[in-house]
Amino acid sequence: MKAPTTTPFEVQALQAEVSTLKQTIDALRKQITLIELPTPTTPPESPTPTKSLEEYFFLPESQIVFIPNERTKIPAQIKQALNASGIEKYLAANPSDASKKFQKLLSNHLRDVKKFVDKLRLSEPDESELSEVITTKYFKLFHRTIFDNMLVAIRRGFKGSDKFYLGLLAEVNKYLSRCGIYSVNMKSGKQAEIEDYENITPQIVKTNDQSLSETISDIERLPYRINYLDEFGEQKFLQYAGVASIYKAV
Amino acid sequence: MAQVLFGIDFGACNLKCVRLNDKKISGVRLHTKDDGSFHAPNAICYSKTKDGTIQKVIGQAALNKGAFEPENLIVGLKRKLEQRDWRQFIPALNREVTAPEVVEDIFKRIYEIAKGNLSKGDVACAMVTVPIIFTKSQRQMIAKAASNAGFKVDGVINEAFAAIFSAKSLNDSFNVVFDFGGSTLDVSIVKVTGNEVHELAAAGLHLGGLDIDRDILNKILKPKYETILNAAWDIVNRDDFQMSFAQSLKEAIYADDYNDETCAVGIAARKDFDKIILSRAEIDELLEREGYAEKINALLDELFDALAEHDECFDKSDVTKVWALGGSLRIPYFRTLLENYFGAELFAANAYDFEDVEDFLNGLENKYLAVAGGAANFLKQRGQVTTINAIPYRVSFALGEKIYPGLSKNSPAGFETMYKPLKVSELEEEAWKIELYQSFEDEASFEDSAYLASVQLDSTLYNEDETPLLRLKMMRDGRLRLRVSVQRTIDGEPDLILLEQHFLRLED
Repeated sequence: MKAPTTTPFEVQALQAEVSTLKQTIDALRKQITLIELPTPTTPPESPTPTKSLEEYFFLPESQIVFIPNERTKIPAQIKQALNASGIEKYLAANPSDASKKFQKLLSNHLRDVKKFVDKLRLSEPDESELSEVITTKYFKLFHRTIFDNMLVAIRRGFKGSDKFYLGLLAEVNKYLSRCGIYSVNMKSGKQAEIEDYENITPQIVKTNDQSLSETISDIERLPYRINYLDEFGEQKFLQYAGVASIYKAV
Repeated sequence: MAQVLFGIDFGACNLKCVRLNDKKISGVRLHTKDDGSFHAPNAICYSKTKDGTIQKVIGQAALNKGAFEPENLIVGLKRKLEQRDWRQFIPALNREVTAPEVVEDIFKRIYEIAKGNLSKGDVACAMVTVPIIFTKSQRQMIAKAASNAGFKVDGVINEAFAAIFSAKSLNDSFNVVFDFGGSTLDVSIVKVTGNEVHELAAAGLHLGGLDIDRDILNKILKPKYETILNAAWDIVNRDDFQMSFAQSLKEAIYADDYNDETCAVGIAARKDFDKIILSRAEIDELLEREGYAEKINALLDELFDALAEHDECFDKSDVTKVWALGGSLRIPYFRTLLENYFGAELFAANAYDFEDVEDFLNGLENKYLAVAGGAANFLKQRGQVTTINAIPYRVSFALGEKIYPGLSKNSPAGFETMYKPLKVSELEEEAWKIELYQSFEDEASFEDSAYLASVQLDSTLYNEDETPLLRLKMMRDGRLRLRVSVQRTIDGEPDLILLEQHFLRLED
């Protein structure tokens, strides 16, 4: 009997598939690590100077579709967003004026999530559209409270009392990962490309130095994403654009 | 091979696209990086990469990139289409671009995204919507651009008329469609009887969200914060960016989930961090002062006056449904205006109730996708329904810097305007060309009118010392046509001598 032959094209395709699967496994491992980290009740050490600020915010890409098309699985998934005990414990263990403000932001967010869970009507969309329709609504719950307010406040606070904010950020990151959310990796100091303009809302910083033109000077907030399945079953993502300051030569 | 139907709403501010196949309808996400919404700003930026290739970016990314190279950014394209020969030099391309070319580039991008979910061999059929004020040549140009981009274009229809078809089923009704978008306000009065959809009257104003943004900028923000604003946008086309800023403030303050009466934004334009505050009360006061309500009420009155002359003598009491569409209706001032005009009962019961549209669009941003969704559904139902429409725009003509009133398209067949004396010296200056414009105003201005066509006169027919007379006449000989004639008087002779005449086919 003749051994089955494999064409170079098939080998290439298989290699590509293996590489994609490896990346997926790596991403999942990183997520598991994040989720399994114990909740610190005391702030960790200040960020080391070698690590850029945006690296602390970075959440590795997820391949998981958090809200699938199966009606029965959706409520349990969304209820995970009601559990922000890590952040709550951390804020309670580190009382301050800032903590109080974050507690208020968090309670507003959890109130929105609760309202969403209570009003969830899964009977309406076709099953093939469930993932897209529900993910769109679910992701919006994070826009203002978490992305616009909490993360930007942490980013600004980092400059002052680093330890407190670093610990809080770790908790928020774990919460977001558990909720199926990840970020785009962007770095300040590099030249902005077309793709970056699709990912962020730019804030102009004027400079006389022509060599700095369109260089990202600072990232206020990274872009955040969540995966969903479109009506054809293809995996896509929703994005909430980030905010970055970019030099404009004048 | 299946046909997949697309409705495309080529809005002044936003592009919207809806897909309809045998099974269902869905919004097409026009952002490359999906932000969860179904509309993208109608903007394009031509950007040159380091290796010299040109990237054509549309939507929000175009606005973002354009902030750094404003000379390569084009926004507000819809109004540029209404100009006779709009052009802009684009440094990245090192040449001028024309409006049709830019529209085609935008449609190409829409097509690329839309075809993403088509199976091999599927045909993307499109129905494109435009404002009532668009002329036949502009409609043809839009259709050509969409066709060159890859769509099989089945027609171009009015935005307000399209919205009627976003209802799941057409029941006998008497509808007022009030579509208040970014660039124009379009109102259609549509009667549905059985399978006949009759657009009894329609009119439009060059009045939209962009005018409100401009007024907010010039009449509220600049008087209060001019120094800060100028420091923040110290660039060549500062106005465009300041307008975008005014627009974003307005959108924020009227966002569905925003409940505060004021909106404050911090600007790091100078050494200090400045705060700009805008309130709903300031906007309401501005709208009142600038006569928005008067203009809209006058437009509605004019439409109902026209209907009173209809054979069946319709009036406001016949209205069974008011459709309130378009982003500008997020401003409560305008919703109150409609409520006052049509009565609280009718407005509250129907106008903002989009239950049937929601059913049809599966709850997807229903208020904003009604036009695109309706266009796709109109395409599906074509052949099953009879549509009749009669749009009463006015054709005027321009010489030099002035536009002279002409006649209404709905004038009875044979109706002819008064004679307008022409000066030969003026004709010479204009290279013997008379431009025709379309508008909805009795007293037209270039700003309120859309270019329709040009008539080239034969200079050899005219003597220097005479004053020829120009006349417009509505002809209905199978097709709706406009006759432009020039005649001569001879001393002592009672009759005029026809020097030349030109015929122009109008949209019927």
